[in-house]
Formats: sequence, structure tokens, C-alpha cells
Amino acid sequence: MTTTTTTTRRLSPRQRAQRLRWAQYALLVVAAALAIWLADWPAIYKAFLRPDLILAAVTGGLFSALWMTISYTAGAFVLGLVAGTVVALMRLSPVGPYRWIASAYIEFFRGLPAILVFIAFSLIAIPFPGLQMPWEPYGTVWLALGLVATAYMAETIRAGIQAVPKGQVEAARSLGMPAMVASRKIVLPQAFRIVLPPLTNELILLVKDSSLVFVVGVSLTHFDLTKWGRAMANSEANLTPLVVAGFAYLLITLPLSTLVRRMEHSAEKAH
Amino acid sequence: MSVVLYDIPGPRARLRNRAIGVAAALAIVALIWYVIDRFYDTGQFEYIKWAQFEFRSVQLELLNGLLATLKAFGLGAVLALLFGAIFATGRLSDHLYFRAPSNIVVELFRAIPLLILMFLFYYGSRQLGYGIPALWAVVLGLTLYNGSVLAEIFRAGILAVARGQSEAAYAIGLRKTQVMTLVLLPQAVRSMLPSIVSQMVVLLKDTALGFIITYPELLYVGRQIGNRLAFGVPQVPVLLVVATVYIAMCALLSWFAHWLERRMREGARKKGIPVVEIATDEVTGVVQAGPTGIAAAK
Repeated sequence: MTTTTTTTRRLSPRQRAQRLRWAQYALLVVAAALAIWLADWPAIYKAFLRPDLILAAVTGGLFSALWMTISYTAGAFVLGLVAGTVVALMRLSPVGPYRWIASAYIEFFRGLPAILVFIAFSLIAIPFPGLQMPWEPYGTVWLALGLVATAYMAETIRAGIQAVPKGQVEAARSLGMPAMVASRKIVLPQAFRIVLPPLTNELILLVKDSSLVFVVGVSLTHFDLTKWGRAMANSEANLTPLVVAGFAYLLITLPLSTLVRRMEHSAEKAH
Repeated sequence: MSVVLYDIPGPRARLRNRAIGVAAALAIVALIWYVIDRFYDTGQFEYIKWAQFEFRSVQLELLNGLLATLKAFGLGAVLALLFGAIFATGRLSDHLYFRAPSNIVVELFRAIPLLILMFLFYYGSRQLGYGIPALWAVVLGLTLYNGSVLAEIFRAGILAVARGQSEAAYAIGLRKTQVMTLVLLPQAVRSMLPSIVSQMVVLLKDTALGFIITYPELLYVGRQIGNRLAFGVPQVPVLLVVATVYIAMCALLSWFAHWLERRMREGARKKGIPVVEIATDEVTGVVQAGPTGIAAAK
């Protein structure tokens, strides 16, 4: 091979990159076309999106299931918020055992799949026969979901407390505020403003985790979205209700995640 | 302590703190003792309920369950990282026709519970006439959900690299791909590592959902062992064992993450590479990035 042929043949790096990119585009288009062409659309529609079943699902208990999901989540969130704040304060406490208890709690529940906690609660009658949770079945679900939420929210709130500038407390203390008052009136309000977006993220996670009610025995009227969708899919021998349930979750989670994005955006602007 | 939330204790406060500490520790010990006592009274520690663990076949069952969990985790982790990388690139793309579909996919799969995704893959594929194995229903669900979350993490990490870095790279004539692979990614990966690994821990824990669609992983095997009538239905003992294994696996994974993070950071310091520190990024939501490595390097 002579030098002249190689110089005419060789592409500039830009040209090479361009050709590679066109090859990638072509591959993408071909793959997409193949997927669309090969898929059996009528069968997919019949399996997942039967119009009559969508209607039946919407009129047949979708909203009560949605309401159950919301109330399970809300109770667990309140519990997680209160207990999470306490655990976060314990983690930062100068009292050694408080710190150890809080760390052990957080590590334990963050290392455990949430579904295991739910199974444990469904077995609670074995070692504690006759134990009656208040507000069944809410009590069990709130407690199971709330215990897990506490561990995650404690870490979030702790980081939020630590993100409050040190000068704030120092200023409050030098004005003569007792430590407790300073943390209640100065630190915590600011910390909660900082953790508002991540806490909303926790709420979204909690909404999705409420689907684990699946492994707890609850009565038909207390089915959450997932359990309701699965039960209806079973009785209709069609998955459409489950797809409807999936989209119903979007009704809750999408507005929340838009809210998070807006809050983060305004926080960035403020900086 | 990083926060002056509490007073620096004087001699009396120290005494009081010690008293509170002891009381709290005693209360916790009493609580644990009560639970153990209840377990004991209801016969959870009887020999027959634990006898199964002595059998070689049962040990093998549990081991197979553990391996199945790790298999789903491994496949799910690799595919989710891949999925996340592709869709993060899509979301960062300059072209709307890449960005818009990526946005929709990521938002959609982050917003639906993993359990529903697994159901749809497992039972949906059956309804369409070709049943995929439970393993792949689990792996696909894990990939779509965690991949979407990872895509967000990657995107945030790349956006957190100081703007001057990419501006400088463009100024010396690098192309888009080069800027990304040579300048942005190496710095971003280091700062993203903690978030990536905590998502891996989530992925590992989520494999437990596979038990609902009868994927024979650790929890599923545990439930089977726990339902044996001949051994007094030892559900509580088995749950204790399974929970311990999960916590140990997660602890191991986070320990590995800390080790890796430290190593990468130290390695970077030695070479004088600036390390972008993302200060409590996922928590405050506000990314505070700044190079720290230069000052530390000699």
C-alpha cells in the first residue's frame, strides 16, 4: 500500500464520528421498526388494554383502592415523619446509648427488604397471640410501612439538620436561647425547609412501597391499588385492571415528582 | 459533632446524660428481652423448629435460594447500570427526539411500583402465549425500575461537574463524545459512587419481591421451609434466619462501597486529580460541588 492511497482513504476524525453516528441512528430506527412490526398489537391490546375492562375497572372500585393506597401511605408518612425526627435527633445526641440505638435502628431497617417487615407483621399473631392492633387493618400497615419509613426519613432529616449553617445556632445561643429552644425554633424549621424535596421523594417511595400490603391479609374493602388490580386481573383472567392500577399510581406520583422538581429548581435559584 | 444542636455538657449534665443513657439502654434491653421471652413462651426456640437447619438438603435449599437471589441481583445490577447509562445519555442529549422519549421512559418506570411491573412481565408474557421464566420477569422489573433511578443519578452526577470543566474541554477542541468520556464521566463517577451503591442495595433488597411471582429466591425458599408441618411450621425461626442473611448482604455491600469510595478518593488525591465532592446531594437536593483534591495534593 502506498502512502497516497492511505491519505485519500483515511477519514478525518470528524467524518468518522459522523459515519458512526449515522450507523447508530440507522440501527436504532431498524430496531424500533422491527419491534413495532414483529409485535402482535391486537394480542397486546387484548391482554393489557381491553376497553370494556378499563371501564369496568374504573367504575368497579378503582377509586376506593386509590383512596386506600393514599390513606395507607399518609398514615405511614406521618408516623415516619414524627419517629424519623426523633431518631434523627437521637443520632445527633451527645448521649452515647441514644446514638447507638438510633444507628442500630437505621442500619437494621435499611438492610431489611420492606417485604420482610410486612411478612413479619403478618406473623405477629404467632409469638403474640391475642395482640390486637388498633384501627385494623390500618394499624398493621401503618406500623409496618412507618417503621421502614422512619429509618429512611431519619437519615434524610439528620442530613438536613447538619446542613443548617452552624452560625444559626451559634447566633441563637449567643442571644441567650437555651439549646432546646434553639433547636426547636431555629434549627428544625430551617432543616425541614432543606429536606422538603427529599422528604417528598420519600413520600413517593412510600406510595410505591404501600403495594407491599399485598402480603398482608386485609379484607376486600381494604385492598390497595396493587392488591385490587391483581385480584380483579385474576377474576377477569386479564391483566387490564393491573395496568389501570399502574396508571393510577401515576396519578399520585407524577404530581409529587413535578412538585419536587419545582422545589429543587427554586432552591437552586435561591442559592 | 458537626452540629451544635446541644450544649457541651458540664459535669452535672454529663452525669445526667449518663443516667439517661443507662436508662435508655436498659429500656431497650428490657424490650428485646420481652420479645425474646414471648418467642420462648410460644415455643419459637424449641429444637424441632430449628431441627431443619441441621439437614444437608435444607442447607442446600437455602444456599440455592441465596444463589438465585444473587443471580437476579447480578443480572439486574448489570442491566440496570446499562439501562441507566443509555437513558441518562438520552436525557442529556441535545436533540429533542432523543430527550423526550428518554424522559417519558424514565419518569414512567420510576413512578410505578416494582411489584406491578413484575406482575405485568410474568403474567403478561403468559397471556401473550410465551411465558418468560420468573427469573427474567424479576430481572426485567429490577432493570426498568432501578435503571430509571440510576439514569437520574447519572444525569445529576454529570450535571454536578463544575461547568468550567466541560467549557475548558470544548475550548481545547474536544468533541461532545470526548468531553463526556474523557472529562465529565471520570469525575462524575467518583462523586456518584455512593448514590450508585445505595441504589444497588435497594436493588438487592428488591429481589425479595420475586417471591410473590414464585421466583425461588431466598425468601421464597424460606417461606417453603417455614411452612413444613412436620417441623411445627417454623415460620418465625426461618424469618429470623432469612432477615439476618439479608442484613448481612446489605451491610457487606455498603461496606464495599465505603472501601471503594475511600480508595478512589485516595487514588485521586495522590495523582492530584480534583475530586468533585457532592455534599449530601440526594438529601439537600442542592448540589454543592467543589474541588478539594488540589489543596490536598502536594
